[in-house]
Amino acid sequence: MNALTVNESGVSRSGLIVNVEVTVPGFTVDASFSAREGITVLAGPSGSGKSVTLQAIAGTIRPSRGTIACDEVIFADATRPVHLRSQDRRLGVVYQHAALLEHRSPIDNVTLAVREGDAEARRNSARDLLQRVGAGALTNAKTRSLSGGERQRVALARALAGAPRLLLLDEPFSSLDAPSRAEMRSLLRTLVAERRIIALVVTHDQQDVDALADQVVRYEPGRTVSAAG
Amino acid sequence: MTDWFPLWLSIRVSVIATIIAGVVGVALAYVLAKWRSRWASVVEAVVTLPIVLPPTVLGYYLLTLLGARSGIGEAWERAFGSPLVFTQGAAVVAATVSALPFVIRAARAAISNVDARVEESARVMGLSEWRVARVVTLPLAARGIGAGVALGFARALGDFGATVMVAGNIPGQTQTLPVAVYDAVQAGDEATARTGSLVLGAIAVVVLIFVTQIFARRR
Repeated sequence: MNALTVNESGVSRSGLIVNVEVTVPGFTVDASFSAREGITVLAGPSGSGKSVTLQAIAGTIRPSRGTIACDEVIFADATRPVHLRSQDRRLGVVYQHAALLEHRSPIDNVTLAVREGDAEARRNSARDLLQRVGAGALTNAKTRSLSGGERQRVALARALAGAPRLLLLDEPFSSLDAPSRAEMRSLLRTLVAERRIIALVVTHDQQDVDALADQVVRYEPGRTVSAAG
Repeated sequence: MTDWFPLWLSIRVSVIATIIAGVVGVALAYVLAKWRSRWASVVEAVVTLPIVLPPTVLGYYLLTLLGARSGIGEAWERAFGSPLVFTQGAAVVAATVSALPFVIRAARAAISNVDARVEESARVMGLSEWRVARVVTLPLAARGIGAGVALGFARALGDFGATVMVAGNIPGQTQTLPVAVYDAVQAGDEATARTGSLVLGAIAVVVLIFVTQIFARRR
C-alpha cells in the first residue's frame, strides 16, 4: 500500500479534506470543503457535481487537480501524482440503488466486506451488523426479492462491515417511501455517532439536510459555494 | 454394424476444445471488456475472424501455421517426436479455434453488461481485482458465458472444413462425425450419412434449446 501521510507521526485525526477539481466527460466540478466526525450533507441540484465528488473520494475517478486526504492519509494528489486504490481508503459506500450482489444472500453480501478475522468470525460479524441495522430477519433471504428499504439496510450493513472511517452515501434514501426514509435517517444518525464515523451524504432533498446534517456543503452547478456548520 | 468411432471422437474433441476455448475465451473476453484501448477492437476483430472466414480457409491458415515447415510445427515435432497436423490434437486445435469466437463474443457482451456500480462497490469493500472478477463480475455474467460456451461446443462438434484441412480424414484416427457423414455420402452409404446427420442435428437442437432456456430465465 502506497499511503503517504502529511504528518508522518500520523496521530492526528483531522477528518476529511477535499480540495479538488474533477473532470468527467462534458463536466468539471470544483470542490473544496472539509468534514469531521458526524454527518456532512452535500446538498444541491442534480447535475451540480455532488456524486462526482463522492466518486473521487471513493477513488473511482481521479481528480484532475488538487488533493483529497483523510486523517492525514493522502487519498489523491494530482501533483505528485498519488492515487490510493479504493480498496485501501478504508471507506464504505451506499448507493441510491444499493448495488448489492443479487446472486448472493444478504449475509454473503455483508460477509464479503468484513476484513478482519477468519471465515466464521467474519460471518458472525456480518450477522451482528445485519441485526444492528434491523435486517436480522433477512440474513438468508433472496437478495433479489428484498424491498427498497430492506436493500438499503443491507447496503448500510455492508458499508459498515469494513469498519470504515469514512462512509459515503449517494442519495441513499431517495427511492424509499416516507416512513422508511425517516427510520433510515434516524438509524444512520445513531450509527455514525456510535462508530465515530465521518459520513458524507449526497442529497437534493431538503428534508435529508434538515434531519441529518451536522454540516452542509452547498453545491451549485460545477462548484461548492458554502460549507456551513 | 454402425461405426461409432467418429461420434466418440467428435464428442471427445469437442469437449476438450470447449474446455480450452472456455478458459482462454473467458479470460480474453474479460480483458477485452475492461481494456479501454482502440487496440481492443483490433484484437476482437482478429479473434472473431473464424466466424466469418470459410472454414476451409481457416483450416488452410492453421495448416500453414502448424505444418511441419512452420516454426510452431517444427517446435512441436522436436518436443513430441511427431508432427501435430493430421492427428487428433490437430482436430482439437481446429475445433478450439472455431469455438473461440462464440465464447469470446458472448462472454465479452455479458461481462460488459455487468453493472459497473456493483463492481465499484466491491472494490470499495476491499475486494482485490481478482476477487471482484471471481465473486462479482463472472458470476453475474455466468448466463451469457454459459450460452457462449454452449454455442462454442455446438460449433466445435459441427466443424468440418477446418478439421478436414488440419486433421485430415483418416478413418479410426482423425475422422470426426461431420467428416464421416461427408465420406458416407461420397461412398453412397446412405444409412451412415443419415444416422450421423440425425445425431449431429439432435445434439445441435438440444444445445440451442439449452441456450434459449438460459436467456428465458434471465428475463
